[in-house]
Amino acid sequence: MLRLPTLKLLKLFPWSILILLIGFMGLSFSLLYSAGNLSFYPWAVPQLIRFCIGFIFMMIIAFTDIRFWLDKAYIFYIVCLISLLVVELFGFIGMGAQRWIKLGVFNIQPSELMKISLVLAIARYFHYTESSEFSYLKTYLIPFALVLMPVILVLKQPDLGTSIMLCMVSLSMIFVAGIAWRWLLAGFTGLLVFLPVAWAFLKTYQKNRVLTFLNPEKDPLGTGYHIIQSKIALGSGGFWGKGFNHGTQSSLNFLPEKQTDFIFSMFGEEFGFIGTLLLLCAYGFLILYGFRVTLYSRFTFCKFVALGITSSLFLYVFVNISMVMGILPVVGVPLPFISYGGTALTTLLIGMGILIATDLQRHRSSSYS
Amino acid sequence: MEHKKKKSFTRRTFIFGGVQAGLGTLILGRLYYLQMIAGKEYLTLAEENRISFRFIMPRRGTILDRFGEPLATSKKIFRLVVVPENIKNIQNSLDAIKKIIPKPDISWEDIAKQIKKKPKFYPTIIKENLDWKEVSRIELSLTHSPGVFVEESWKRYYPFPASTSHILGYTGMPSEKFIRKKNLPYFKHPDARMGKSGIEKIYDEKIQGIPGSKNIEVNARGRIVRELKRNPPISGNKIYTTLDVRLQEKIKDLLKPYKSGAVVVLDIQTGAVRALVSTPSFDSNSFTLGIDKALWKTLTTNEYGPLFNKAIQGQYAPASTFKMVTALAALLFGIITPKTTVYCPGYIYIGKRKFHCWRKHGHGTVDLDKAIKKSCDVYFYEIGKKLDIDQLAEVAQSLGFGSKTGIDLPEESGALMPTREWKKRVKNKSWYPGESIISAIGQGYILATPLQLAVMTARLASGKTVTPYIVKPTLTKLEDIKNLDPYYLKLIQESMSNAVNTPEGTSWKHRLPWENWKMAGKTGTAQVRRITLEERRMGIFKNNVLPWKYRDNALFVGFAPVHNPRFAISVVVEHTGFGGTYAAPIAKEIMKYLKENGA
Repeated sequence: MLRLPTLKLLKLFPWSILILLIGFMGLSFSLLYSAGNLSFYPWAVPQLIRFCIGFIFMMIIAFTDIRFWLDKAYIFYIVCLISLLVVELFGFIGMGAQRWIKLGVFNIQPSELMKISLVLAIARYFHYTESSEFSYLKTYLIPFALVLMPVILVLKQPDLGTSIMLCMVSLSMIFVAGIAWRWLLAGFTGLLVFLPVAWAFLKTYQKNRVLTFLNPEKDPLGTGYHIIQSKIALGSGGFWGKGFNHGTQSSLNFLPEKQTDFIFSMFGEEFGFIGTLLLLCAYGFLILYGFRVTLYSRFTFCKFVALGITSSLFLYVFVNISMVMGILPVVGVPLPFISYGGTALTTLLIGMGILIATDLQRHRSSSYS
Repeated sequence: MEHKKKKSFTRRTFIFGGVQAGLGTLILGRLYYLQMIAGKEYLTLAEENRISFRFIMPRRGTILDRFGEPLATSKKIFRLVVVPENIKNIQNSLDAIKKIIPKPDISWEDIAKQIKKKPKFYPTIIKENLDWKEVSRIELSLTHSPGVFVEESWKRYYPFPASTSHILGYTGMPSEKFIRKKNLPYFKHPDARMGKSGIEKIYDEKIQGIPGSKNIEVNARGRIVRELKRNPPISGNKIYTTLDVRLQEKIKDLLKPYKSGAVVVLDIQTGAVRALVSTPSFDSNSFTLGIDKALWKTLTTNEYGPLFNKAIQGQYAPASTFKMVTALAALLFGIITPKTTVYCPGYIYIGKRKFHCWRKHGHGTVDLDKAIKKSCDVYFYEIGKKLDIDQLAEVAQSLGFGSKTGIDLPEESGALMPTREWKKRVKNKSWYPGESIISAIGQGYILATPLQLAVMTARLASGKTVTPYIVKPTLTKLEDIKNLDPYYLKLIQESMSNAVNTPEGTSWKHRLPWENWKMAGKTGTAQVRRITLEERRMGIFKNNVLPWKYRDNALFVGFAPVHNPRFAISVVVEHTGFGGTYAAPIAKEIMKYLKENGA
């Protein structure tokens, strides 16, 4: 294992991404300050502290050799899976769902960490798969199993949003790995058949969310209220927005959960179309960076890891924004780097760290392969 | 192979990237639609969310007495309301309120009914007139309940309810019929009030005022954040009445020993009502927040009729107070002359029927003056034999009997002055001569309100068309009553004076102590049932042994000062006994008050 001098890595480090992330931090801070009615508490400062801790993690991970992650991928996965089981058995009940493990000061949400460990595990699996085997269906049985176990546990919590994210991310990796189109099609058809059965297993509030999504005006004071108010907030922003802290929908609390899931609506209300367009461009830049890393990596593990993280990031953005605009049901997916909340932010920053690590891996000598 | 796999990976990555780009475009398109195309509509919706329109109730005009003493005012109060629009689960909110205010003004069922009936954005009152303890408890524990507010409001207050409730009336929530007719949304507001009776009703438009409005910014819980725009209300006009509230209170006290009665005091020179009292009274204050069913029931079933304004609605046989009318008609139609005498043995036979004088052993030979001052019934029976009922009615009507006086109070009764035509129309019978006999002493069909009796007295004292009013006069200038001979009028006035100021008069005991400020008057004792032959033979009919409602009504009418009359009074004390015993002393006390207060 040959180590590159740190100085060279610093030079190669994608500083633009770091700057972009710091920009997100600044935006998040000011939006949370506004959401707290021009107060640093309870949201703005705690989130800033999380960001700083997260950045340290990210930087450490970014400079580690990716082979460390290759080695530990399965162990990491198994630890996460066991954590999920622990949550299922003894978990702290929060927000009507069992999601947390209480570890002294820290509350860990294993389902979030699973997003990364699943990507790593699948990537490791594909890394050691012979290239000739990629066209066989049986090659994909293990990845499916890797996905299914955590998804079932997460669904039981119940956390529909994370389950969907886990499925979609793994599916994107399996798709890019080269699964035959016919199997993809067959799987899709199977899913359609399975859907009514799955419906029966959903909790009432999840069903309500889906039903509300389909017709939000049906119950304007009940579950549809969030979506309607969110659309009003976004739409009323117009082109230029109402200005920082001048969003009436958010400051007068018509907008629910404005510091977490619906922060994009608040942003849209205060900064208008011009703001949302710029924010989307920033996410686009990040995703394009992910694709670039995916394509330029020479190391199979790196390719799949970068792809998984990129697709995960995209899903966060897409699901959250679609949700607040009423395109998708409200499933509780935060807006990456902006929404208040520690676990998602930690996951995302760890993910970014790994993504940067895979980027930097290109410049390390490849003794593995 | 390795190369082929790489190519496939790259291709699939591009496909995947393409899908992401497509989805990204979808988001962007949706954003463009929401913010750019539909932005204006959403802005309107956002404004509707935060801006709420509220009426500001005007202050209802004060009603004052002639000296500026307030009789009805509006006080500022705090009260608890709920606005269903901001509440997800009304029952939960009501349960939370129940813990602080266990007993609302109306029942919880009625509150639920009101909430259902009214538009969602209208507040429904839970409790009016909160004390500061309740206000602070609500502020402490209900501030976080959406749609529950403490509001400022006006409450009508009547400082002299026992003597003025009948005249002032009371206010209440507009009836549904009224709301539909007016079609003004603000009448549905819980603060909207309209006069339901008395002056409050008849001058409602004048004292109502004009509501203002305000636009306020509210948060999602419906709490007011700030006021954006205000259009102030215009207070209702002040109204001065002709009443003297100290006199009202004094009369109320004078009537206190008796269960039921009415008094009217008129200014003869203008027709202004100086006092108008009916007892017992209700309390207007107890009606301002809606009428309690139990209270309403006790009031409506009370034997003494507290809701009834007896001064303008009570119909009484005028009895001997009517004798001046009979005398005047007889003089005018030439039935008698001032010198005509009649012998009174205590009774008279007309046909086979025996008619009694109130004095069992008679008055001996009486002339007109004696007949009035001693109140000899036989003298008037003699007139009744010759005087046609229509002739009597003609004079009586010119003095105010048989029709409403036109006072500016609602629900006045016109009472009854019978005529041949009336009897044919209503009873479908011809007039019997015997009916003329008892009509001559003010019994039979004849009925009058205390107000009509006061008007009669004022007209007899002045010869002018005195018309009573309480706020605004209907006649600006009083005219002479047509076809009244001033000479005859003078004779009647003198006899009324003699009835009080000579020892043989019926009210001698209740004369005024001043030589230059004498009162003239006439007593009346009205039977409310026929006295049986048995009772007459036994020489009985002591009122105090009869059940209350069978006792005689005591009446008195009078004016003062005799020369240059200024005040006319009528007093009715229900079911007591002799007018000279029960009614005359009250009139005397009132006249004393008027003289002493230089009014």
